[in-house]
Amino acid sequence: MSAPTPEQDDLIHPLAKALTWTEMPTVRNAMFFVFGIITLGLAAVDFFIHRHEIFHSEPGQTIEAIPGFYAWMGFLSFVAAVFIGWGLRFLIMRPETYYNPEAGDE
Amino acid sequence: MSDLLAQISPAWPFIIAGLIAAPVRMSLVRKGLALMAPIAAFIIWMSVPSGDHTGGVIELGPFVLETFRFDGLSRIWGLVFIIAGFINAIYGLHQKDRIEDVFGLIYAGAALGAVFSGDLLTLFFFWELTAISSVFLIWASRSAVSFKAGLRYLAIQVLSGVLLLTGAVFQVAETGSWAFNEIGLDGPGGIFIFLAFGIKAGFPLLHNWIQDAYPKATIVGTVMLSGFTTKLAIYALARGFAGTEILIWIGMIMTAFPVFFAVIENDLRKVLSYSLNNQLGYMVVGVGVGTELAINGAAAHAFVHIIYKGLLFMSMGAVLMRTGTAKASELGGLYKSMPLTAVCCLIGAAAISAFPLFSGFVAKAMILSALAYEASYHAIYFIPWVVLIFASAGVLEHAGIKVPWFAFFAHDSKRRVREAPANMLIAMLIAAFLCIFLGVNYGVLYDLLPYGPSYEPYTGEHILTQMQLLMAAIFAFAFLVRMKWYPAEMKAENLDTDWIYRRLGDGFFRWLFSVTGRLTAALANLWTTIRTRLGGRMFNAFSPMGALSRDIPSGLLAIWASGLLAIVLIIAYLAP
Repeated sequence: MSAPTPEQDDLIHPLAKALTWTEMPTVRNAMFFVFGIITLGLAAVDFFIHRHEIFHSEPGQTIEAIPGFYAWMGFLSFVAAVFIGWGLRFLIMRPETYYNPEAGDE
Repeated sequence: MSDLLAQISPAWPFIIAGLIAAPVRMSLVRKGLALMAPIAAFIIWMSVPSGDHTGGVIELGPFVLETFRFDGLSRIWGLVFIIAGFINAIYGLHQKDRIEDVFGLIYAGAALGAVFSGDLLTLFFFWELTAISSVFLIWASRSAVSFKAGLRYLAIQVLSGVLLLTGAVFQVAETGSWAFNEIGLDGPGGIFIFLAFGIKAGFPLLHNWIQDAYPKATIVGTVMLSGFTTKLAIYALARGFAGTEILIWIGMIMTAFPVFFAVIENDLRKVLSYSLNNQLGYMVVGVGVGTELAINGAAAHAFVHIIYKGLLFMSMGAVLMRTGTAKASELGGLYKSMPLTAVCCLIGAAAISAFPLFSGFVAKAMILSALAYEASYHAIYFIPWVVLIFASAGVLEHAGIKVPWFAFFAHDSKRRVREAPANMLIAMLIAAFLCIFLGVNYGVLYDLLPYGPSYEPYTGEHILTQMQLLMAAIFAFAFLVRMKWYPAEMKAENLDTDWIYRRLGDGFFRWLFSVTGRLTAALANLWTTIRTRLGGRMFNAFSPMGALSRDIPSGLLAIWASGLLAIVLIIAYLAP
């Protein structure tokens, strides 16, 4: 028997029923495209307007002057944080009972 | 009346309320005191005449203690501590725990007392009082794990106090004054005090007490703890070490390294503790830059951070209370049961991620602008600037997305629980309101800053660049999830620097005790052997049956006496 759909679940808080659309697979799949388009759109603005660089050096000489710099930084930083964190698991991850044999929930 | 109030530090209403509450068994009375204390403190805060002011001076022999120094810096910190005390009191209204009530009040009062201290001795007193009072918020969990964590926490906090006192004594020897003003790193006193502040501020390698202790405190206790100790340390750094360059580098590391730990941490309250470290890093950088804009940025960031981080801890506390766990691997889909808590958490997440129109945006911007300005003249500061941009995306990853996503959305854990109690919701809604209010009406916040408002956060370029950064980071999350590269949450213990004293140190001392035990046993054995053998021989010699008690023939004695006499005569003859 399949799990009850959100609408069928009587225990859902009345206020939450307005948000159950967030669980629809189409919506979740669309997130990738929606945020992708928004990101590309925002990054593209850099090609049309001249940002005043915040560093008082020669115009166009700093890395910040690269079009879409902040978008690149956001994307790469996020990916780097996740991948480095993932790698860190191999070094520092231990069983939950490492310090306390009776460790469990709070 | 206002003259009288100008002599009373806003710390006292909290501390006195805590002391009055101590013997009171009726929870209602204690809760009343918890609500009245911040209101009384706020009245005092409001009634202080404009301009710098020193009151509450106590003379103890040669020492002059200034308990109420009210100036631009202490004013904003004092106010946000009072606000935090009020929100915390509402959040804890449902909890009938005398220890939590009493020590929560004393702890908030101690933090306020430290902020308003005009001299190092008063600072030391309140500094230690924050440590001693706050440990009870950890012990109030009443588990063996929290008891041990509390002991570790207390040891580290007291060490900070000892370093502070040591530094203060050196400082007095160097300057002849107990005054708590600019200190700097020129003398040994300054270095000791710097380390004392650094421990409480969570400097790298000295940071792990936060992640060790905070998640083990009670639900209400963690919210209280998140507000005061570390921000008090930032205040102390801003007071004593503004413009100390090394703080830029220390702060830079603080913003970056917790990001990686937070990514893989399963306990969402621990994730928020790492996030706390990251946020403190921004403030430390601001203090290190030390310009008026940077100090304003650090103060503004501390102010808004106390509110939005408190909000995030409150939402996770509500989840823990209702579900019995704050572990990401056990949660998900809770928006169906706790939609208001979810919305409050999302507002806190937006604020900490510095979305425009939220409080984090108007505060963090000042620190980054101040650093970028310095980097224009000192190219080396380009490095911390880039790291801070990286860390901004990192904050979004763990506090902006991970916490709300895994608790309230992600996969449905099928847990159907009740929404948080009304008092918790009210506290969260107040904090959520402030996150938006201060983000929109940022002038209210800027008017409180030590150096006056002179910054415009909502420029088109600033909004654009921040949105580019945040949207691209969210896209990266969607990308990783779609590619199934986003790491699943795993039940695990991730090692950090506390391993040094929890495992290495613990192991060393276990070995030391074992060796000492064996050595003691061996020495005792040796002593017993010696005593037995020596005693036996002595007995053989001196006992009534011993050799010396035996009858000796007089002829033999005469021979011995003649021999000795001969030796003496020879020596006397040969002597010059």
